[in-house]
Amino acid sequence: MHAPSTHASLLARLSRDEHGNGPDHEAWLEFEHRYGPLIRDYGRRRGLQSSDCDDLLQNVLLSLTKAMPAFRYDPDKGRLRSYLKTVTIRSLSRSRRQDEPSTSLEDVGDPAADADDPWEQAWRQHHVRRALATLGREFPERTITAFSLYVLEGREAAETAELLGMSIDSVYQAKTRVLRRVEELVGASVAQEG
Amino acid sequence: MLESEPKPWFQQPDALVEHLRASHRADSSVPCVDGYEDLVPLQRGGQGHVFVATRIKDAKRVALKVFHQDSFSSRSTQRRFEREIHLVSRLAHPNIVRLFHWGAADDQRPFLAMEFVDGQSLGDAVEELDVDAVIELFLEICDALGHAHRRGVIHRDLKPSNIRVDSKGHVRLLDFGLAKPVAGAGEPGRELSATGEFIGSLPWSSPEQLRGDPNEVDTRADVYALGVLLYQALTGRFPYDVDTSVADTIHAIEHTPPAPPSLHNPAVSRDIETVLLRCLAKEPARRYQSVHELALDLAHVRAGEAIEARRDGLGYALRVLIRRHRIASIAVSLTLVALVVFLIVSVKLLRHSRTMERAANQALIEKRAEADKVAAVNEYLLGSLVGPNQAVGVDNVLLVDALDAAAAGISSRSDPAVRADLHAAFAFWFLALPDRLDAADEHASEALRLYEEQVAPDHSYFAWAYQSNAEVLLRRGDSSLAHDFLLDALGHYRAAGSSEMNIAQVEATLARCVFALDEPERYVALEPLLVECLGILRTRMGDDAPQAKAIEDVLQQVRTRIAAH
Repeated sequence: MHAPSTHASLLARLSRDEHGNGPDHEAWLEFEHRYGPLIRDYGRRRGLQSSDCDDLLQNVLLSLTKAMPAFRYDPDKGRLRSYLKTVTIRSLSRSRRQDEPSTSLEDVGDPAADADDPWEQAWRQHHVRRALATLGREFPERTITAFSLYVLEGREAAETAELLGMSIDSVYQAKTRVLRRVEELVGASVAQEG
Repeated sequence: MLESEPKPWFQQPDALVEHLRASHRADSSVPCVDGYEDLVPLQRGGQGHVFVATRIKDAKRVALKVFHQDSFSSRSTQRRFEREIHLVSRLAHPNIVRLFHWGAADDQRPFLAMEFVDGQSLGDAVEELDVDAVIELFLEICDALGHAHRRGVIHRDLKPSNIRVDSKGHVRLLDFGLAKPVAGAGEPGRELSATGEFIGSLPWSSPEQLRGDPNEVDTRADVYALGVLLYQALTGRFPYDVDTSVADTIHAIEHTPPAPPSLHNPAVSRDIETVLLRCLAKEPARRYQSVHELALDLAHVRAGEAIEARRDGLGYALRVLIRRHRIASIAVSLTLVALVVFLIVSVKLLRHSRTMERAANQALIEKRAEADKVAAVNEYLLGSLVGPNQAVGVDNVLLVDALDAAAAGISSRSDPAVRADLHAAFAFWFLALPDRLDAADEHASEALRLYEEQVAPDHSYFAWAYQSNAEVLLRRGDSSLAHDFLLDALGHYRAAGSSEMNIAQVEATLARCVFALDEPERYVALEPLLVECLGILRTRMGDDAPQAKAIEDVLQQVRTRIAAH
């Protein structure tokens, strides 16, 4: 029922590599690559400066490493979204030395998300970023270009069509096809990580 | 059934588009870059954004180019980018904008810091200039491009906005080699996903760039772009209609012959027209083969002399060479040619066997590709070096002539790996000949460029290319750059587990650089390398070998200089 997902094994490798030895340097890099932008994004939403975002990411990594043996991430107990949120908010409040109540896993266990919550905003951006990075490998150049000009940059369909020498219908089609794929990609990513 | 729950956010198209746009905008925001402040947006392009900023340590104004987050998403594109940057950062030429520094902004976007040039774009600058003044500017551009080409850097994206003319009227080239670093093999689509940039560069792209195979693109793509720019500067128009759709423009670049420039501007002389049309040839082989050749003809035009473009390239050169060397006997020349072929082929085979040893554990298919490549190189060398002599028959053709004729045909080989090896081999041969430094230079830089573009080049080949480039630079008096290249060569030889003699040879050459540079800290760094070199020579050749004795003397001098400081 619960095949270990890739992010679960990544988290496990943060404190011990696959041979059960010390911290796995590769795993740290991979974590930073995958979740660094998310944690920095959250930090900025909470008003942190650039160097403070660096510290935040560092602290999250440290507490994940230290916490792991006792406080192991269990995919059955809560989703990655809640878990990372807990760890990140704790790291943030510790580094700010504020009286922010320490948040436990139970406190954030409710997956019903408030769209205005800074964490939820950052988390959705995390999924969207991942999906956008995948699109370039899945669609022909022209389709991506049309999608980018028309949907992301908000140009007129007619202008996009003229720039690319394609019909307006093809521009609409590009939007529909790419958007449908983004929905699938984000859906899969959410199903995996929460 | 209960009424179904509201759909999750990613299944609501409007919400999803909002999130996508937010992500896109975040990519366009002003980043924090360590060491720089007061970032003011200057322009945005498909690849990223350019800001004017202040470098904190000396309050200098610089231009910061910040790339999009996913520009270098794969490791291989990242590596290519870093290699290219490494080469570009070594360009030191008064007409090339200096690259100071690169790294990652706080949000991990890669950035470059470069010299900020206030001035106008080439397009605006040429409006008030007469033909001679335009040619003067283009001679400066050629000089700068030649400097870069010799160091293995192709611009790839020359256009008016990448050529600034400063307040003193001098040209400054921007965005060297960076324009399309992401068009890596195996990753189609990267280039076009940088939307605006691609469309913006289209009119100056060469036919081979539009075909999309990065291996096909070499320094002659820059010659083509210069042709378009010069055509524009002199006539105010493009050589073909580019105001149509992207598809039509691509078709025109690939198939429509340029309209004669004299149609638009009667002041364009027949000679300039010939120069322009030669630059704009659809086939790279029919263009000027280097910016140096183009510059020579532009200088001829300026001086009112006959231009080279009128003459028939290789045939003409061969005839001149044959005439010049008539004294040599057929027997001598044929022996020399045979010797050259034998030596080159044996060098290749030796290298091949070493490669094979190392590759013993690699996949069979790789071995086969390597063997095919060596076979292709040998076939080429035998065919082209012996062939022309048989064809020329009774004429006296010297070694140089045969080498020249063979070298001229390298570009016809389609496999870039084979071309790279051939250029590397010819670089060494031209280095061994008197007065052929220019040819050696061209082959060495072309070999380096081709190796740089390979996804996973073999270390020993790479080292070979670096070594020949260093030798060229050293002879041209650029000891500092030669020194860097030799250190690179050394690193690659070590990584390849190469023969100790190669390492010793590089270390001995490094000593020449260090003495030419004569800086205390370089002597200190050189000392342990010379100790290693001496050890290798003694083991391999004996304690009393003259080579070992010579290095012993050099080492003594190095130690004396270290002590003196």
